Amino acid sequence: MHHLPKTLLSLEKVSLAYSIGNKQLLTVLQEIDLEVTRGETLSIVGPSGSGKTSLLMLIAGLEPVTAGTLKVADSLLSAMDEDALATFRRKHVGIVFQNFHLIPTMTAQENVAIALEFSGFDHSAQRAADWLDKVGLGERLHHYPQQLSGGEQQRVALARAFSTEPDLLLADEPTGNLDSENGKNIAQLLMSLREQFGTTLLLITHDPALAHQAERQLALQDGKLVHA
Amino acid sequence: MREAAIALRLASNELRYGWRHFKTLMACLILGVTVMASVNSVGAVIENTLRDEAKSLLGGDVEVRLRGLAATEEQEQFLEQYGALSFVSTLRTMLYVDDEATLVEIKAVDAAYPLVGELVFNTDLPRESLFEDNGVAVDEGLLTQLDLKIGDTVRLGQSEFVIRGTIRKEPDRAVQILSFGPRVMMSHASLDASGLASSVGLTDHRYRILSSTSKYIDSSAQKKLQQALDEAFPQQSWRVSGGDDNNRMVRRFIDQLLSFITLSGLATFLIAGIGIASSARNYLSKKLETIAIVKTLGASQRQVAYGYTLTLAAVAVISGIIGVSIAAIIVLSLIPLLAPVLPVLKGQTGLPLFPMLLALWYGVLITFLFSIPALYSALRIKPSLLFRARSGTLLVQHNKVVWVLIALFSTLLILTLLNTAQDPTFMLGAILVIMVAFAVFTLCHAVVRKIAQHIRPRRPWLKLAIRNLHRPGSTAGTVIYAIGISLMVLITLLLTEANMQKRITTLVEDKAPSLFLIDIQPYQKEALEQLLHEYTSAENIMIYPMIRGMITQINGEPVDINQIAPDIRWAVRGDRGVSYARSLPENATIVEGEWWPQDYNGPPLISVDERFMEGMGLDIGSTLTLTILGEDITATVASARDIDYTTFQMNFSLMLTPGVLEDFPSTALATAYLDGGEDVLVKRIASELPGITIIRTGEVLDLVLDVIQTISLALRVTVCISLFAGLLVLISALNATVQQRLYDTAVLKVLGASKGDILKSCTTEWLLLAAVTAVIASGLGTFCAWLINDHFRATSFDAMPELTLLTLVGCGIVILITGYASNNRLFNFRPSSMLRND
Repeated sequence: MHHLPKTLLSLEKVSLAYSIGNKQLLTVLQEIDLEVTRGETLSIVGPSGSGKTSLLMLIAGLEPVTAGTLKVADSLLSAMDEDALATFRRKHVGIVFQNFHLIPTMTAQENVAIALEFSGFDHSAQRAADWLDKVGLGERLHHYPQQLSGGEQQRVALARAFSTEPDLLLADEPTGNLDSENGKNIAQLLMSLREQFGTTLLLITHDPALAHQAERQLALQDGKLVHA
Repeated sequence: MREAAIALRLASNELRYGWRHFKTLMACLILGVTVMASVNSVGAVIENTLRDEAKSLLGGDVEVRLRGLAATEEQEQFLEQYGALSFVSTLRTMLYVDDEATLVEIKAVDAAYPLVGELVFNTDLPRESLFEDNGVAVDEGLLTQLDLKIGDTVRLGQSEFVIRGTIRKEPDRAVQILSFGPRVMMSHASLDASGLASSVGLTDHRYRILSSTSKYIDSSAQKKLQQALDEAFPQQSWRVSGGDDNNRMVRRFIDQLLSFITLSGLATFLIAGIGIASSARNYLSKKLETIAIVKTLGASQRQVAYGYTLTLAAVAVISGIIGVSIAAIIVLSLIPLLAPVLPVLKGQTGLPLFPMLLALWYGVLITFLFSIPALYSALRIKPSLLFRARSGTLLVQHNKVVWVLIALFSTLLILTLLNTAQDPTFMLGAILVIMVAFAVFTLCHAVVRKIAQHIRPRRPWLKLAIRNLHRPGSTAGTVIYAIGISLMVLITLLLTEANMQKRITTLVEDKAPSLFLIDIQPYQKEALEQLLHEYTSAENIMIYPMIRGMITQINGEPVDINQIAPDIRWAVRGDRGVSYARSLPENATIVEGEWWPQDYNGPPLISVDERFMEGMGLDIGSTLTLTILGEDITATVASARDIDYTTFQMNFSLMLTPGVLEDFPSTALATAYLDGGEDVLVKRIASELPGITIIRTGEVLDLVLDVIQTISLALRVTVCISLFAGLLVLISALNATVQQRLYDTAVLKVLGASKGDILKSCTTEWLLLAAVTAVIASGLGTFCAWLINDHFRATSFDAMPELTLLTLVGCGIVILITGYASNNRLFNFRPSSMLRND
């Protein structure tokens, strides 16, 4: 049996800065060092503008690092071109957003199926239906996002993220757009699915209660990672 | 009142701050209104000018025409009691200069000519001096053509004539297109001296009457004059016409041309309509949040409806005014360009108001017809739904209310089109064709959607491409309609034009005789036959006698024009050429009855054009009475022939048995097919057999080709505008979805889609769209071209598959380039910029 490395995610002195004109740079993240082991749950808290979402974008390969080394599942992200990053995301990463980010012109089932198709799964429609059933939306397969409540849309997003069986699940304020009751339900679902599939979870949140459900909590302050 | 005030405030706010959303909608509307206003205004200017100048073009209030023999002194006196009289004779004949000969149109005028308008020469000589001693005035073009100058001598018939001036303005010449030769104007005395009028059978003698009371303008008064002439001088074939119908041919030609251009303009408007539908949907999609907020603040459905209806109406009117203003500039620039072809337009500067207002009205109707579904759906949206989605996408509904409103605006549009059309029958046909085209495109779009829904390819990028063809908010429908209809119009035009040109070229090469000879006197027949035999064999020569006669009775009853089918009324309106023969002409086919035996010697029998049978209610055995030089000849219908008048071969709609017409004075017609030596033969006929009019069919067909090319140019301009409208709609449709596609792409990239996947998906989607659109457009365009071809009684039709293929390739390239150009951001953007929390 192939032995998987223990560390899934490692960041060494990772920085992110944006050019804001006149040769000025806006530093968003400064020399971040972080290691996440397989199966671990980690939450990162921090005020608005502290760089939480930027960190998540870097880990997902959606933003290039300005400096430092970023590895996910032994893949060095900074060395990858766009197509390699796309393949990396298909294989290793699932993301859940605060704003759900479902494709509005696709039904719930299609939204899940498209992710399965890109990851090369067979019988994507049936798998998508099964996943939606798992998150309690078995009766809403053919509904468009507009026809679903916020909580329901986030369930679709969770089904989409977990359906490709990623190594790493990135969740960016998954309950941020929901009322407390719905937020609680989604948090429960997220944790139970993670538990069930042993997925590594990196959770970004404002919500202290949700943050405490993670095994480890960190905080981002002025672009630097500190212990919460 | 309060509702109106709120609606006004809402509309003014939208117009002030939301005008950017209307750019495409306004561009489409301006284009449509400009085309319709321009086409209808040019049509109206020509129509009005012809109507206003009818008296001048006719040369009086009423014209009495005789063909062949001129009126006697007694008959002239009879006509003079109705008003001032002017006598004009016209004929076509050959003009000779040394060994050069050319066909000219002679016009002999009296001192009273013109009764209306002014005749102007490019010379200071008074008219009497100009015309005395065989003096003539000619078109400038003749001087250039034969390298002549003022003072040179030319030969016409048996006389020599001196060119003393050129014609600057001839008030009764409406059109200079399709003229068989340049004008040569002279006095009646000179015409008589030339001997042409007596030898040429096709001389028209026109007596124009100008009444001080203008009582002959209306058709009933014309009928009374016709009756009076028929009763007083029954042996003559009188033809009375008024100002309204004198230029009927010109007006019919212009009406038909304008109808075709209007059809193209209408297509542009409808394509613009599709653009309007797509722009309105995009605009209202962006307004969903505003509508929701206004509703949550307490605005009623009706107040919101009034506000947005008013907004759209204001946009339609503002765009319409801009379109009409552009049209005014176009019309004023176009009229001087048309004046060389239609001299009556010289100096016209007025702009007709009605066509401009009409185009404005079309703009408003089209705006609402095409934006109703989006408007209704936006107004019905529940505010609560908006707070659930990140970006509100307007899902357009088509329920009963929407269909009723669409039906209402469609009916208004169709009624307006029919009521204002120059040719309502043509317009009805055009509307039906457009409706069928829309139905076919709708059906094809539905089929494409259905098929796309059931195709399950394995590759995700291919799945995405196919899904984009049927998902909600897909641009497939807009692209299929907009590009499809403009391509359909283009293919119809190109195929029609190519088939006409091919037909004429084939005619010149295969069917049409090289020479058509008319006005052959009996004493010249034998010499001509001998001369022709030197250049071609007997089977290539046809000579038939011809005499002019008029159908006056059918089955013993006087002809009632109302009982005759409209398409063959021409056959009973005036004199027709009548011939006789023992054997069936080689180019004729009997379709009913039988041709008489070679040695037939019984009572008169007649063979007619097959269309006369149904159109005049004839059967084999019916009788037709012909009045020939005042004498009635009744013959029994023995057979009907299929005649193709478009081949330039010699054809007579009426052919009698031998032994009936031999005693009447007649001339002959001849055709000759030559393999070469045409120039020499023409010179020899001109010098050895003067008076015979030679028509080189090749030259005439070149003239027809020139006319077709001129018409095609006008049509091409409007078709190009249709294509431009289609392209505009395509760009706007693709642009409208960029934001949505960017968002989708961002999400797809998160899910693992690569740049190559997005590129392949878009390319496949656009190529599929191009293929579907081009195939439907090619099919429909080919069918329309075939219909037009059939309308012109053409027997063969070439579908030209190479043209279809070219269309497919062209359509693909255009859609791909437009797609890449308007969506280039899709392939080069960072998804993270779209996925951050707001």
